[in-house]
Amino acid sequence: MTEALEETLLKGVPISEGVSIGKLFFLEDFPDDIIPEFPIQSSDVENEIARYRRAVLSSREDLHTLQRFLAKEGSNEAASIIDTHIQMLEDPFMTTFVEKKIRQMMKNTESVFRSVMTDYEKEFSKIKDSFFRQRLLDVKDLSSRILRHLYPRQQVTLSDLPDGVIIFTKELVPSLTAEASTTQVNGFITEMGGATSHAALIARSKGIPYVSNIDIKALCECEECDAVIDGDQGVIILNPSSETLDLYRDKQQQVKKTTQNAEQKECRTETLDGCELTLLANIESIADLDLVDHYGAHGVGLFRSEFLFFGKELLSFSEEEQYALYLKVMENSKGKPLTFRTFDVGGDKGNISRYEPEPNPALGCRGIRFLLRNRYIFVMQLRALMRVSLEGDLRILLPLISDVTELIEAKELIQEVAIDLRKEGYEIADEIPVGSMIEVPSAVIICDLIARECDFLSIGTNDLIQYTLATDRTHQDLHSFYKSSHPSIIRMIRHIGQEGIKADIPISLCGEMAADPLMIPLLLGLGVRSFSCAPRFLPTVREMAKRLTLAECQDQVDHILKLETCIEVEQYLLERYEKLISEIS
Amino acid sequence: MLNFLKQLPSVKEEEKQKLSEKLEKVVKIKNKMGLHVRPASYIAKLLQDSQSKVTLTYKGESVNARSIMSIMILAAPKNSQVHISVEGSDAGVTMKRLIGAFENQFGEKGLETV
Repeated sequence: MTEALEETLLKGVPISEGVSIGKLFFLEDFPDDIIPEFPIQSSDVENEIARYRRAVLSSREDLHTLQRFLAKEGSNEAASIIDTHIQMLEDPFMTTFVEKKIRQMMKNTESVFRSVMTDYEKEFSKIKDSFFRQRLLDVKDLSSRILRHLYPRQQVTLSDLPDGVIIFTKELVPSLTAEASTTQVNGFITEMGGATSHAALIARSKGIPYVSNIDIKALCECEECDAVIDGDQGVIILNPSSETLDLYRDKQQQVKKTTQNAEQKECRTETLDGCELTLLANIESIADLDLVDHYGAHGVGLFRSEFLFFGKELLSFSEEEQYALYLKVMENSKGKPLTFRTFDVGGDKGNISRYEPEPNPALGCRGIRFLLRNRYIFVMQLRALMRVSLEGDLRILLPLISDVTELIEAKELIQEVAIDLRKEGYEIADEIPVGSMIEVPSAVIICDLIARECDFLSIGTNDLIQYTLATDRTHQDLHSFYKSSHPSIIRMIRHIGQEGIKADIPISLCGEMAADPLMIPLLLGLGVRSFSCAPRFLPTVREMAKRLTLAECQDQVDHILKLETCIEVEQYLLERYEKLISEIS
Repeated sequence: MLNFLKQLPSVKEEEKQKLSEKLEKVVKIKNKMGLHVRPASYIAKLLQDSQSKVTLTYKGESVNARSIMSIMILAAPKNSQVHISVEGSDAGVTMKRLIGAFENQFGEKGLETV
């Protein structure tokens, strides 16, 4: 089919770098002209307002889900943009003002909302500054989300599209860009949109090519055609000839190679005074393994295995299905250390619909507790995992250990599984290192006892902070209590570090704290030598470490340990950080 | 952000002040991009625990400082002067925090260097 069509070149404006090839798909804006408008009775007013509140609430839920996805992806910029959208939902303009208007206008909610937003857009269009004008897209994005909940309508969304598509649409909104995964979306083409829009920022942070100023009408006839998007030059090539395709495939390969070369050199990380550090990646999918190389990690410090089955019933995965998946993981790990955390389900990582909801899931049957009570699931995972143990450098990490007994119980089970597998004729590695997550305060206090039973320890700061400070990290109003700078957390990490040295086993720190540039000097001074975080933060960690000396960090820790409050600690770290930055620039 | 939090007087000190007062001040916008979405949401967030009525005025247009969308309409760029008015029982502390936020460029200071 493509043979018959002529190759066409369209020139636009480059917004986000990179080249890729894919099929074109059109995503329609929410057409607000189809929204009905009719008067309502005064007895309906409260119902209409309740309907509006529900739509706002559902929109908030959407955005929270999106934010969790972005947090996992490590897209901090995108997450902070979505955070402002969540905040805008609480804007008096979006809440009390719209409700007042419904009472005044006595019309159906969606028509009132649309008219309020149209007025707002009119006001906005008076702004001359183009940078500010682009921010209107954030508002439009949010208002069409609310409208979609008020007036549901069949519409093609990202989740309906196959992998590897190039999306074209009139104007790209931030949340759509944020929802796009790099495996699914190969590029964005729009008619309108500038380089400083939030959508552009997100596309760049995800590394998805984006070209704007293309006539969308011309493209509409070419839906599902093959196309090349060149985000470096701002060019779209429709129905590319085989020569053009070869040219661009070469270009893609070259980019891949040069980045790979650059990264291999980068793999080694040491401080200014020559202390070598290990940088590891926290990941949760097979596709993420590419990022391990891309960002020059020494290996995987945390593979969140439950995410391989996310949203699905764990029990429905047979040993063979798991085996096939883990085999793929091992093959793609290219012999680098791969720390596989066994299923950490329960708590905020729910998705085990079959099980009873708990009154307090964070303190309930999650992590190792769940595994030991549901041995069938645990054994199945262990068998599948150990069967791939000869395919790479596998390590097993046990989640939510709070007591030595459960650790011993789990280790005995691992031993039994190994014996059974050998009896059945499977070949497995002679030694598979087994480690504990240290993420419960009790585990910190007895970490000398836990260390005796383990080959390595991994400090999970996200949960450790939550449990130590009795603060739900997803609780919106408790942000100010959830602090990695809390003196208790600092002392805990120091204690674990000291016990690790005594037991002579490696300790890595995995959690958002490992990626915080402010915290890196502190962690180095506390004795942390292995950092595990979302791959895209590794360059930051590496850059910071290169500028620090261990001696200096240790001196800082001596001072920090004397401080009494989070604010003092943060203040001190910030001063140090600003000093460091000013020295560079 | 940490810098200005540190400079805050404790709430007790503020309680000694009059029950309700109106404070006004003109501040200059120092951050690179002006009062765009992020600074606006920074201000709205900061005002979440304030009891006072806060108004921002720029080029004769006054808006509720708790509304991100209204602040955005002002489109106040870098180096422009914005008039802040705070009225309420915690006007003093609210004003101090607001000035701190403008000074501190809404946490954007230094973001570009790393």
